[in-house]
Amino acid sequence: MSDTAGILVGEDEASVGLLPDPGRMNTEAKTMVELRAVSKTFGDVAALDDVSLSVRDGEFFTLLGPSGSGKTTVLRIVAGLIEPDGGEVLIAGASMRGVPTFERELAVVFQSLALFPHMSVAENIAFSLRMRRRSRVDIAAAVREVLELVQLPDIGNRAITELSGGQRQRVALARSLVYKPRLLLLDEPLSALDRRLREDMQLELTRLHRELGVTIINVTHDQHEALFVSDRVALMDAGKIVQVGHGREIYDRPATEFVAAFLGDPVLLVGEVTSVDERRVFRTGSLRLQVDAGAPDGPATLLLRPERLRLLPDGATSLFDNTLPGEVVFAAFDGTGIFVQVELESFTVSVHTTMRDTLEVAIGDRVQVAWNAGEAAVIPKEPA
Amino acid sequence: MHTSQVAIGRPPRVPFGWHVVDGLISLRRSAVGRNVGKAAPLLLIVPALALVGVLASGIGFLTWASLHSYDTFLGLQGEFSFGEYSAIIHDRQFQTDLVRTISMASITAVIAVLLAIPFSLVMARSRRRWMRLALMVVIFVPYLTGDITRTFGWLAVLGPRGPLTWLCERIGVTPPDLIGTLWAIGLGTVQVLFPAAVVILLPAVLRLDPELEHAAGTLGARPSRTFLHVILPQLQIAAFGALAACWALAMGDFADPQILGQGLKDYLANFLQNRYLAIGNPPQGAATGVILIGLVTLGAGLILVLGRVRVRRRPL
Repeated sequence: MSDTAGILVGEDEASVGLLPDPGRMNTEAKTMVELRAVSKTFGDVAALDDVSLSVRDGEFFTLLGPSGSGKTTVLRIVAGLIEPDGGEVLIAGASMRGVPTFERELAVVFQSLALFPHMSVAENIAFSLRMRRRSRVDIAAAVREVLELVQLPDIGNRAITELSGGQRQRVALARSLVYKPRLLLLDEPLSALDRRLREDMQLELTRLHRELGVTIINVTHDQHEALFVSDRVALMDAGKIVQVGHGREIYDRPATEFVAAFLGDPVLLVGEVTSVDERRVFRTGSLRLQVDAGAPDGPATLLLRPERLRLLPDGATSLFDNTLPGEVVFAAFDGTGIFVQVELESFTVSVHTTMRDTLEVAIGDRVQVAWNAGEAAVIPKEPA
Repeated sequence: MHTSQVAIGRPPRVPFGWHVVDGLISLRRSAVGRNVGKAAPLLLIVPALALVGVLASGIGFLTWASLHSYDTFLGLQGEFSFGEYSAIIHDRQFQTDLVRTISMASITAVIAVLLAIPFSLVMARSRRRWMRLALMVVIFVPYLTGDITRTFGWLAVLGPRGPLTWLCERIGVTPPDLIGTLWAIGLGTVQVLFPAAVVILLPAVLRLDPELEHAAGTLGARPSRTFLHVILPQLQIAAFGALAACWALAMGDFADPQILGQGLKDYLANFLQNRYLAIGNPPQGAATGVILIGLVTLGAGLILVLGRVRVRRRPL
């Protein structure tokens, strides 16, 4: 694990853009949720193994990972739906040991949404307020207000079965937000939606987060969603947190091969970093590739991402640090650019050209694949 | 030759059974090549329809018999008349038994369903296999035991030399004399109804989504309020179904009042038997049966309709 509690993006990267809004990524903000060495076992399977992390007040934090990595278990432990075997959970500084779910003042949007089928939309939304014995007048006003917030002002009297998938998502969100919880937990609520609707709801989530300032912990296996909506992302694998940080940072500087392979569709080359004539060189087989000056000596993995590579015409003069000749073996338009596979001398690499690139390629064309040293991350081999 | 004489003379008599076989063979031949696939489902329900038909004909016979006057001395059926109905409706014993049957059926059915709901929930959610098995045994062993055997079991438990008396004597309490009381009948009836209620409720309980209860908890509902506001409303239809079935079963109960009530607290079924066998007035027994069937049908129907009525709150 490279960082449990918050690798913050360095100053040099702040100029790159696409970094968290300083208001949203307040480093001075107090911690809303903290997990201290939490572990959980189901039978013989360790679902969580010594997990520690902290989520700041007002942060949109995402737990990302493949199925079975333990992210939902973290969420359920925070919600109080599962008791951890070891470790401690704190919410707003208070230990949650022995505190039942209904006293934790949080809300969960479940993957199944878990809307009450025997209640109308308004009754579903009013549920948490009724449990808190608010007056009918207050409840009616709050329900109206939150339905407007999720842009569904006229569906209060409808049955849940009469709603579309997107409307159900919004009602589930409204039900969770109506009593203004300090913490909102999202357990893959968007996973069942089609792509268009999912992207709409991702935008909706970021808007609600911005407007309400509520702390959100989101669980997803969708890397696009994680990078798109989150202030910070924690990547999980086999019950452990592998890396925590801003999405851009995790994407560009993965701590492990697992992180590198999970995000995007990269080519990973195994080799060794050495110094040659004051330059850092990555050697794999007969290849010598220039890498970033900060890459440490020793066994390492080089990460080549399709969108960081360029295609040059065969024989053209290259100003890039690395240029390799090859032959196009596949090319297809995917709506945002052209996806090209190029067979190089010792491996095949994928390149994604943008619509602005003018080079047109066809299967069988000879081309050159080029990139600069800083555009390919080097992952030092983890000690055994 | 004997055989040639037969051939020349009258054709031999063919037994009737062979005519039936020939008829079936002809029917099968005529059906070959036709689309019998569509008729197959209808053919499959013929046995069930035949059973219902037999029952319906029995009820029809009862109704027919009840609608005629009857001379108990000569044992002759008279003219068409509502006299038997009038006679039993004005009978004090019938009135008492009717009120007792309806009251006891309602009380025991409600108790059985109230006991069955938590039992079904525990049974459906028990993670331990041995626990589920034990609860299944608790349900099905009494269920599969005959009515009479089970009721005599209660007689032994509640009787003067039974375990209840023994226990009361050990703890220094006067043993209650339950045999012949409504308490004993009620206990026996609830035990009959309870497994039936569980069996009817269990599918609905298994369909409950545990995520809804988790959601209720995260929204601030304590377990008791989750039970009231989330679990019970979802079991409403099944619970009323169980109530209707239990009520119908209890309305027709005979063994419990007969054995545990010792004939002192009769139900309508006991009244009916008395009219048939003790007094020797089958039409009055038939009229009692028709009234009982009508009451059970109406009552169970009403309970089922109530189960489908959604409790409506004022709109927010």
